[in-house]
Amino acid sequence: MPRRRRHGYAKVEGDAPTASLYVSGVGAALGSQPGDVRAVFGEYGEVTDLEMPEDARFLFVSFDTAAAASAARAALDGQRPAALQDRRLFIRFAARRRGNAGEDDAGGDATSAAAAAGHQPACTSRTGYVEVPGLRVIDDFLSEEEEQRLLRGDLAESSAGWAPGKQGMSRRVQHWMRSFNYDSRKADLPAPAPPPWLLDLNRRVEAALDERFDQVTANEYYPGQGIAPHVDTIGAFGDVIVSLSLGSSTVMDFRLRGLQADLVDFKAVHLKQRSLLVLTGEARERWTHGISDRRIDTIDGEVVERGRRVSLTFRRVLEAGDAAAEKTPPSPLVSFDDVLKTPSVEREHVRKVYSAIAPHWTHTRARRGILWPAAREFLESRPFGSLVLDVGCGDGKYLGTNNASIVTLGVDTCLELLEYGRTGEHGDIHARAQTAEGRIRCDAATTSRKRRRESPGGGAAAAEALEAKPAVPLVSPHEVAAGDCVALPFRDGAFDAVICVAVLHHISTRERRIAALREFRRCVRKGGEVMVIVWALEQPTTSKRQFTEPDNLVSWRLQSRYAAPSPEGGGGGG
Amino acid sequence: MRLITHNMLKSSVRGVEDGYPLAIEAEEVETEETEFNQEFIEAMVGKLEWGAFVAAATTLGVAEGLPEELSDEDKGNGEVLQRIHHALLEVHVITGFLVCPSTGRKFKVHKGIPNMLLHEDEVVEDGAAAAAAAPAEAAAAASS
Repeated sequence: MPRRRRHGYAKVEGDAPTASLYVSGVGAALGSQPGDVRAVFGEYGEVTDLEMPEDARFLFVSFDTAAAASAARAALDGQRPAALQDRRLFIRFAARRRGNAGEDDAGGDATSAAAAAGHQPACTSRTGYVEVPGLRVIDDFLSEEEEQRLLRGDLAESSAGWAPGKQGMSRRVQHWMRSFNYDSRKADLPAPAPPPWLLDLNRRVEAALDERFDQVTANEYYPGQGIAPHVDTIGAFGDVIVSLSLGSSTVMDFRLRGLQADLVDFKAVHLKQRSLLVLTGEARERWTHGISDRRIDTIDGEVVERGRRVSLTFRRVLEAGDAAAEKTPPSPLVSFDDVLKTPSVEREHVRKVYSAIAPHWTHTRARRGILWPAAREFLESRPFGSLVLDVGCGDGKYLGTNNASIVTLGVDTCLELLEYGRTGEHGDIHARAQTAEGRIRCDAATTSRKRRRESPGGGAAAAEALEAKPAVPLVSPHEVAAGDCVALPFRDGAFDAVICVAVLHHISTRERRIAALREFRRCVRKGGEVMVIVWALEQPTTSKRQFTEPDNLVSWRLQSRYAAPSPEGGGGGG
Repeated sequence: MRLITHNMLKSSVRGVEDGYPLAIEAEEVETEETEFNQEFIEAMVGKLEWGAFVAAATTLGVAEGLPEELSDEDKGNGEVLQRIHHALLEVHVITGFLVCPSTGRKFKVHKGIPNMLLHEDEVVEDGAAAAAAAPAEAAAAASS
């Protein structure tokens, strides 16, 4: 995976104003001039900093006050300033990078050791809605004084004996009461007796959770050190495992694996300094936990550098006679059966709806030649003779794109829409899409379009200037089939490319979406390409559609002329 | 449905190992001429499962001129490519069935659109689905 360069700022989620803005749609890679950017944004306040990362299609603008930044955002988000080549701007608040708690952001350039890390991980807020049963985090389990006393005093004294580099581990580890045997993966080796401070701490943890713990492990993590994803040996340790974080916060990753070790779910959890992580039930038995070997984390939109962190993990060792010691790891939770059955929410709110609105749908979509520009460009860039699959093709509006060079097969669950797709009843939409009117609607920011806007002649002259695309399709009527994206009825590697536009958001669960993505990969040949387009959670503030949650029901207002006739007889007038 | 599509289609019923190629039971078939583009056909030929294509073309009675095995010489031969073009792109199965070679399960073709959507019980891999498939196979064997 390519490593992204670090910048002095990062986009922040939410609408709380900051003095800096993340602006996409302009940037060094798009030829934007710093002078133009300063002129446009300078209308709203004094611009104190402008960062234009090389090769980027975005930039960061800072003002002297948050109010000025707010005003600029309100005025410019979703707009196309003429001074910036009519590019549509997408603007969010941004923040300077900062270090870990206790370090001051003194302003000036953000230079830090973490700049060497060079990549920005996905933010914890992206998986905020994922639930891991049995996972709990208790914040502020210790006070700052207590934490410092442990780190500087008690732990520092005992850490002289910490063992580094066991079995290829780079981080240092220490065990008390029982030592963890990395061969048998049980705590069956002798270990030093716990010092008084540790006994006190253990009692506190036991009291807080009403549980017994008789084994403690300390792990030291420097920035760049982590621990591979694992489940603490079932049958060796009891059901409740807790871990105290000292010295620095970190992000712990939880993963749920399915039948074929495929990733079914993922959650990134922020463990604050002095917090106590509690794992029980599924969080302890089914989900793996691990810490990536990074130097930075992205937490709620901010990039946070790691410091030295020490974790103290408390467990209960199971004896041979203990019933729980007989426990074996549970079988994977999610089977194919669960994933491939169509959930009722999809039957009711997707399939039945599309069947009912098919004529209205095709009237408002394909007939007007409204195509997503990225999808059209993807299809137009396929090499001659390519065989492409359009998953969720609906009324087939993409099937004729680039039809002088490629063949696109369509698959969809809605038979009513497929009938339109096959016959192309909505007419030669592609000829229409190429007209001036069609292109403006398609929202493509091309230079020819810019020329058209500027020329006083308007539509007619411009339409002639456009390159003529062949109107005779290579394959017409279109080839379509009814099928389900989570179980595509095609042989492996059948296609050169797969495209899937505005479909995945109709799939109701993560597991089914992952199943669909795996099907796309299966049906494309080795070296082929897959393009997937879905609605974004972030919409410009000027859009009438705003989303606050990743999953929504969006209603369709059916025009009465498309509604099925009333069953109450009476062939109603008109 | 043209044979170009048929060549890619398989049964996605869970637990079925060999759901390809599907046999064709055609009822209504139409022929529609379309412009021959040699380069295009050359490009398509490489993507076909040749044996399945010839078998399907034979079923529809349009296999004349198609070699049993495709040699490199054939791939450059204009005559052969024209035959391929005809069978691949000009013949449409409007109504009929596609039949799974392993279980005999029939997928309906209607208005030129093959319906490969599965029933709920076909989505689950278990004994019930296999048992349901067996009688269909027996019936198919009895009628042939």
